Amino acid sequence: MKLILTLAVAAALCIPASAHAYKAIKVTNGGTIAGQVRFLGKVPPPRTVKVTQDPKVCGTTRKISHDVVVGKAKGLKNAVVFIQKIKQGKVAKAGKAKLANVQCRYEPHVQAFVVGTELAVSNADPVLHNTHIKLRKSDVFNYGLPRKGQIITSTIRRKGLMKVGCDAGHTWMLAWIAVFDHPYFAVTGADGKFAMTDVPPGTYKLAYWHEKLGRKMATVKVTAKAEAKASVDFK
Amino acid sequence: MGSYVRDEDRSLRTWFVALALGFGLVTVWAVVDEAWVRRPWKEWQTQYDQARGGRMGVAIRQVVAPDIGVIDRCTTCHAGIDDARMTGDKVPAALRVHPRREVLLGNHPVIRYGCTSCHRGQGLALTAGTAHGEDDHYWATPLLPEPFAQSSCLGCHPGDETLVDAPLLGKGRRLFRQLGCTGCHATADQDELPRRAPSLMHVDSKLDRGWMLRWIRDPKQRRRGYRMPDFWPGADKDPEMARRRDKESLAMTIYLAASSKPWPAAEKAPAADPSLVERGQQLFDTIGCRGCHEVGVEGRDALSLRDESVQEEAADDSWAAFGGDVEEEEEAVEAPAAVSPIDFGPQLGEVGSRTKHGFLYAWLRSPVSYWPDARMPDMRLTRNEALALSSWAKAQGPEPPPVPEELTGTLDPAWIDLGRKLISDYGCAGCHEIPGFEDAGRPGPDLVAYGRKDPHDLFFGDIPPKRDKRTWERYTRIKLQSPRRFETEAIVQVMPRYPLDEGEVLALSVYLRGLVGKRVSPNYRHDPPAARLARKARGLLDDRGCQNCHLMDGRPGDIQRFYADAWLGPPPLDGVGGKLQPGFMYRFLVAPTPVRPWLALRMPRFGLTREQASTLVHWFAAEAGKQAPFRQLSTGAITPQRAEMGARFFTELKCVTCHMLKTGKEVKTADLAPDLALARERLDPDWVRRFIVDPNKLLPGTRMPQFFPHGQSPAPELLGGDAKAQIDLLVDHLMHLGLQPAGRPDDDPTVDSASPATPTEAAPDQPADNATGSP
Repeated sequence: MKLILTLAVAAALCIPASAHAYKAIKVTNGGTIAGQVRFLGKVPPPRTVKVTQDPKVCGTTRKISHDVVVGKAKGLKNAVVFIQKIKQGKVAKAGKAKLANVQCRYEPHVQAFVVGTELAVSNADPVLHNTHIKLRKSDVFNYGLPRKGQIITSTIRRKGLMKVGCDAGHTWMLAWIAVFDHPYFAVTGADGKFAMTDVPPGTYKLAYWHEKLGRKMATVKVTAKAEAKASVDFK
Repeated sequence: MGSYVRDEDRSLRTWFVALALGFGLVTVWAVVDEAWVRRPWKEWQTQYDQARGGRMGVAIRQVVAPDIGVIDRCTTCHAGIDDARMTGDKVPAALRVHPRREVLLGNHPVIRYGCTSCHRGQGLALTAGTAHGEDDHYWATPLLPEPFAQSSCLGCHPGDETLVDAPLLGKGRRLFRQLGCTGCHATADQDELPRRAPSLMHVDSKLDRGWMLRWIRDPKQRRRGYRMPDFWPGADKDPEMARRRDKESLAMTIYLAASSKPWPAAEKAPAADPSLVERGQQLFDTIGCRGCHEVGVEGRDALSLRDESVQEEAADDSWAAFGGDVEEEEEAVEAPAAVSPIDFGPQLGEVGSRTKHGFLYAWLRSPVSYWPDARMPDMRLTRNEALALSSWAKAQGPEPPPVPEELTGTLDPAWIDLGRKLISDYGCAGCHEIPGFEDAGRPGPDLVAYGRKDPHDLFFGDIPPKRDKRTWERYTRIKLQSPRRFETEAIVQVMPRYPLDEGEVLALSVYLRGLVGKRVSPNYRHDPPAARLARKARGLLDDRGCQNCHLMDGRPGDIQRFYADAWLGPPPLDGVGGKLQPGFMYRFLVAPTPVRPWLALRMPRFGLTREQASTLVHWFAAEAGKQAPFRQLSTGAITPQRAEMGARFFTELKCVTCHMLKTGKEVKTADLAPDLALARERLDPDWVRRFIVDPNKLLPGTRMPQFFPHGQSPAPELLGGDAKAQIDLLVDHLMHLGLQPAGRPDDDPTVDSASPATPTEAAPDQPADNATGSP
């Protein structure tokens, strides 16, 4: 309770004071930004990690293939695409999100949502996992989940790129959560495709972020009720 | 009929008129003098009245404080000194409010302290010239120029180096101690200190003679962070001084070599083993030596002890790449800490050229047996470890410089005698313990009341006898910068030159100005027991270099720079008094035992006395706000049912996933946590309770997760799902852990008892990242 209160107060203090406070307006003639993120280079082979904790559940070795995942037509999975520093647009609706510990990995590996979203962290394994979420160097939270089937829900009140890890000896466990104060973002699916709707007409800076490949930027012009193409290739 | 007035009468009248005129003039002059010349304070008071739009009435204002010998009328002119409204450029300087009034006058009301108690000057005087001293050359304590008012704090705040408004005083006092000034000069303030420099009783067992000669001759070329002063200042330019330096340094080296007594421990030491150099380097890098020593700047830059963690690297790149929408206030926190050179212990880049191997080995094994006041702690090295380190150290640096003929073979008694005389003259025994000088007194003049000295009592040599050239401040500055400046043909001076910068000279001057040799009335001394305890403890922590390794006051220890993961470095000391039981902390300080055996770093044995260890324990407890640090902890009563329930819950929470002693396993070491079997003796149960509730609050950044977030229990069926009761149960269990069979065997029964661990829940679109080993 105290944590929620503290976070709520911190959020109340920080978010309105932010230099790029987002303003919700009614968007009637919005356009769409859509495209595909591709990876044209050689996909690195999965890394192998030796398991030193809970081998009965996690296996004795693990193949880590979440670094660069490429699907059909070289589509790059798990890239976060977002409009940078957008000032106004449709309402950013907080919803519910999940982060599961399944067979000693996180599901989903990359996700994005709006500030104020309720995140349900769960454990499907019969071992201790702790879900330690950090925003840069400070902790968002660090929950221990000793029981199989346990779920802990809490509201995420800060924005930014959060890194999730497990300290219970599962060094390979890694997930990313991008939290925004506006609704114009997307995480690419297996085909690398993404779309954002109801974008007020105007020119925007679009950022494409990938955990291993870094960031690319593009400028995109959105006109009323039309689709602006904004594909990008990582090499 | 002629005049009735006689000649005598006329003459009388002339006299009368003249006298009357004269008297009148004197009266007018006296009135004018009184009203305008002698009483400018009336003008100040009128101006003050006008400025504040009221009337305080024109009167002389006087403060009498007999306890500190103050009778002050300063506020007669400085009427606005305690009036917060009197600020700004329009207010004349004399009427302006005191800087930092809330604190400085709030804690020291003018009515009780007056002004001269801090600023000096002639309190009774009513004109600026006489009050401040410019017009009264014979007033012994003229107004102190800025920033010397700080000096006066020393009287009532003895030994306090942390006063916010007296930073120079604190710095000066610390420097005076660190430079070893106390070795030669007595003060009433800091007299109980051991000698600062290494003992030379067995120096011939320790140092190479050629190197020793070069060091005495010219210390400033050899080492950064050195404290050894230069006894022949100006020898670089003055050939006469250079000749004197060469002769005298040789004589002193010869005496030291001749008088040195062999150190048996060094003589018995094994020879250096070149095959162990690599192992020595590894020990040097990992056990904590780097908290105090450097091997040379290039060595530090090349060093990489960083934990190879792919995730950490990726994260840092990612933060930079993500950009844009990252919270801005977080960016500010990321500024990298300035890297300051480590110069607590000597630079070891040339340690092999100066030091003999036997000494290195024996010193590493037990520093105090060579020098009882050594600050180097006992690193708890085994014989093999000590040999590896000493072999490594011996390999550092070039060949030692050639040894002159006079220093080999039989030493010449004439040289030895000359050396003895010079060591006596220069007062080397003020800082070093030297054979033949065991009972030598302090060679320098005492400085007990130096801060009150009249410039007439100071020997200015050939400085022209002009008032502005011969001030206390100027004398002190010159004496500290070039100590032989006042030497004449008849008066020889021997004070050596210390490498001081302007700021250090000023800080030392401020401290010296505060040495007035008078004890302030106890009614005015502010030295509560808590402050004395803090001073003692902080002095000890400072002296032993605890902050070189441990985080304290929010500042990470110097050694932390070598660890990408702070939890592989030494544990933080902030809040440690609340965490540990005082008994454990005391025992640990006196004789450390491994708590985190997976760390290569080791807590050294500092050779603390009982009193020192308990000072630290008390202070840490006080800092953590503990009311009764030494209360008895009850570990007696626990029913078998509760014990069993606690053990079950403890297993259920899988605490032993991290809290275990499995050093043989390849667990990423930062993921390990202290053995909980020690908890009963080590941890404060209240702290454990608070820690379980919110670990990150007590140890920011800790890996220990929150098991009861939002006050919710993971086990709703136990004790009615009451999180508080369950935490109490856990604490009870931990506090009885050593008293019953508990814990778990090495393999994992919790997994066996759970559902079969077959990976059946793999998401179909994530086929690769799953377990490849057999379940």
